[in-house]
Amino acid sequence: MARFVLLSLGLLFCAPGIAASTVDASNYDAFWLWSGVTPQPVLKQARCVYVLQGQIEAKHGDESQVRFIAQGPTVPHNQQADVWLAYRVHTLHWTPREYVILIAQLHRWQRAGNNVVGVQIDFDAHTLHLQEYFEFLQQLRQRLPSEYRLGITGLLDWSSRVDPSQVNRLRGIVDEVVVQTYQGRHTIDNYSAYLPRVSQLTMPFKIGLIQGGNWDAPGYIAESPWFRGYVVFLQNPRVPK
Amino acid sequence: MLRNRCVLGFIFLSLISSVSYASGDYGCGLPRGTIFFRAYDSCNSLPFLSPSNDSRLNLELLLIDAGKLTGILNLSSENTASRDLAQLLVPFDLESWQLQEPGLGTDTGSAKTSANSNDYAQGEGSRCTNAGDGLEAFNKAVNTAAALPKEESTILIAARSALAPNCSSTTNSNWNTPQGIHSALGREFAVYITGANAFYSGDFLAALNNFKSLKNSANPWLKETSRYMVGRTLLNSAQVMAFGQWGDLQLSNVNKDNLKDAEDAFNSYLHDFPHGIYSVSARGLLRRVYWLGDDQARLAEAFDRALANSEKGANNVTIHDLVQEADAKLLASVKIDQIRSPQFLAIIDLMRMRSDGPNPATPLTLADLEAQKDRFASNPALYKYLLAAFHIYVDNKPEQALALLPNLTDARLSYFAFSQQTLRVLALDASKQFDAEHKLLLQMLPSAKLPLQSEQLQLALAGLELRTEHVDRVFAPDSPIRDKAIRTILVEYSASAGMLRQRIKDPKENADVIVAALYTLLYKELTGGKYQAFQADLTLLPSHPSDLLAPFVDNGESKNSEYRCPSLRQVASTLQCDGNDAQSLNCIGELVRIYGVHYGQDSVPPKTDLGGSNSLFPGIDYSRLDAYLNVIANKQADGQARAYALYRAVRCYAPSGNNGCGKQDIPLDTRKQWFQMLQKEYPGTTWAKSLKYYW
Repeated sequence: MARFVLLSLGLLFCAPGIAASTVDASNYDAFWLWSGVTPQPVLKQARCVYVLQGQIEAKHGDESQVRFIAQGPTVPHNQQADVWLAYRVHTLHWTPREYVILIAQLHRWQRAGNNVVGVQIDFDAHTLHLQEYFEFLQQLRQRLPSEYRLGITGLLDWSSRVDPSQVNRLRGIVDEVVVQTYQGRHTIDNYSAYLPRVSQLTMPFKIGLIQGGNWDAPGYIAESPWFRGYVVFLQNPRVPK
Repeated sequence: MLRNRCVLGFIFLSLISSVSYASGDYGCGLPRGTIFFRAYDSCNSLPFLSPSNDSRLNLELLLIDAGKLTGILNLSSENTASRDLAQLLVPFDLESWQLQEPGLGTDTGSAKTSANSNDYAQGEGSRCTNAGDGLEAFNKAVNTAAALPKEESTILIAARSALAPNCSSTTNSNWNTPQGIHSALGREFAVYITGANAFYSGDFLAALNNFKSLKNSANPWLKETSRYMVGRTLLNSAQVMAFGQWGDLQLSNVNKDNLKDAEDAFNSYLHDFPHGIYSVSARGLLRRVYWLGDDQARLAEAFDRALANSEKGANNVTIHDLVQEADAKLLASVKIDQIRSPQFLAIIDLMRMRSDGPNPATPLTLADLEAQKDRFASNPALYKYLLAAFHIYVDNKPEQALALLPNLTDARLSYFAFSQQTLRVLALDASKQFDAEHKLLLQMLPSAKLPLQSEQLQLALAGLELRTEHVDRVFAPDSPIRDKAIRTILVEYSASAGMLRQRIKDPKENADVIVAALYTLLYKELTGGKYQAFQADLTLLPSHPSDLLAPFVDNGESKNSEYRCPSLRQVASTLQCDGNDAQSLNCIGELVRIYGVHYGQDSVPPKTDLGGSNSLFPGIDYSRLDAYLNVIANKQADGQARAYALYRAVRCYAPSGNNGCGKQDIPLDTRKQWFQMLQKEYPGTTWAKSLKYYW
């Protein structure tokens, strides 16, 4: 299914008259809805939306204390699209309460009639922390009710920093990784240099694009049996009305 | 926070502030070595009122001066990406900025004691988050109501406890009104619980009727609480239709009549109960009323009041929370003509001076600022500051800025006074009055006692010394520039070979700076072809060099490498006689390939930043592929060495086809030729045998 969508996207890109290089959100059906970004009409066609719900951080000066800060919208009702709740994670040292809140939020979204499918963790995993990160994800996976999927984001160079055995291990813990081709609000200049490594990932992956950014899809990405499509990071228009 | 992209559209149902970080971007790189930024940059925050600062930081600096907060930098070990890269303390990543509030201890979390008793995140919007507090208060009120029969108390408490607030449910909970209540007071309490149930279930009309019916209750708790709950119910009903499909708030859809009624209800409650149980909460909810009513003038005033009265128990949130709330609810989409608060006007004007200001279509003009003069009547110094900042950041008239700013006094520098003098530094610099700038920086240092002020001055002074070609002064014994990172950057990029040798020999120099100096000196000499100097300077290494220095003195025998190299001393000695010796050139490549490049020698800072210009000992931007190309071109080279150079040159492009060894852009055809040359000319070598592909 996912692959079929992709193939049609590929066709779209090849169609004459469409600027292949600028990411036009209306050509996609999966989006990030981040804090501070006003929902756009394009969300009506969304098959899948990743909604930022919170940030988990250590209290400054006291690494043993953790804060779970709400972000993103209030709970909407009866969304048809698949919803992933996304969390920015700055510390991996969660207390039991963080798991309680996260799972309670999943239930609150579910109870409001939304089709919540999983949790996405947005964490900047330096190489140094990779091992610790995996252990954290394992913990989270164990505590997460089994009906929810677990996903992570990764920077472009992430795929060249993990070795095959690490990917194999990760595949047993998380259901997908979304590889981001942008930083801040711009596509990374030399993003295409990283794509060969990304295409060699042996776990389900999506490519994260930024609305208005650049994307020229090399053919080999769609050829990977692990490729699951695109997610577009929505952003507010540059100049307010 | 307020980057352009961050127009806060989403909000929460509760009053607790929301935090809006802008995007899914990742952490900061190393701070830049300058104090002048025209665009928003929270990765390079500065301890003065700079347009480039996050709006929250500028507000916090003013609040520190007002005695409401203190702030320091908290560099956790996780932030220091790499040990050998000097990390300046100023500029700094806003995430490392740590606030303390008097009486609260470290940080800044929620002041609410119940924050840990439910399963909601801090700031998560729901009228149900404080349902737990409500239960406790209710039980206490029932237990202290003397006229209430004991058995009715039990029933009422059980009924209240059975309320399972479920604000996200689309259906009402299965809750029944308490049975067996016969006393008049008992019935009033039952009405109250029924109202609470309706409130939590979202039946605001029923809740309103129940609460209103209790306004003349003889029980003081019921009377006061129901008055307060009337306001909360009206406020909640005002926003029922205001949320879009994705939970985003649309102010135009707020019910203005209900909102006005809520405001009246809170004001009337506060009139009758100025020091009541809920007066703090009611004042906070009035901020919500102003916000939902898009009344920014009163919202800004309410923030000013809340911030000014912070010590007097006037808030149920911390200063830190208030700053976040003001940022999200006021600054995110501000209408400048509505704002009369000098403090907030200043924060907004600074944002509008950014080169990437919140609304590029209508940048700030001098006329805009001049039109605000009356609104700054209570704080003319702040007004002049903004005019001066405008002349520095927007219309580039530093002389006019200087005319607006006061001279330095001997007093300890508050952040505002420090900001004024910093603008003078920038203005003197922009008008090339370097002597005056130098003098001012030195004069400021003894008065710069607040956190990060001294580090900023040292950076500015170091940059000035570099621009005016006085790097030697930075390393003079009486130099005020003691910051290790600043000295390291100058060692890496600016200092001459002679200065580096002085640093290495100076017993008073910081040990880390000495290691940086040793590495820089030896690396630049070896890669830059200064082979004789390299051999001589090896003697400067300590007998037990650190990990990063050890490769310079490894004797080739012990190296566990695919390619045999003599010691680098030998390599340098050979190259001194024959600058094209193939094995030796390969061996310098091995140093870089195996141990990497350190102390920033593979990248020079931007020209505007410390170390980015006026180097007395520039590096050559060494690339090992250049060495391989040299060897490949040398047909007389030793066969093993040439085979290895071909092998390595091909591998520079593995596995992605991008050059991992330098910046050269070499066509695929050439890389193919290397591969074929290796296979054809050196078929018996390990290198030919082990290379199956080219990239």
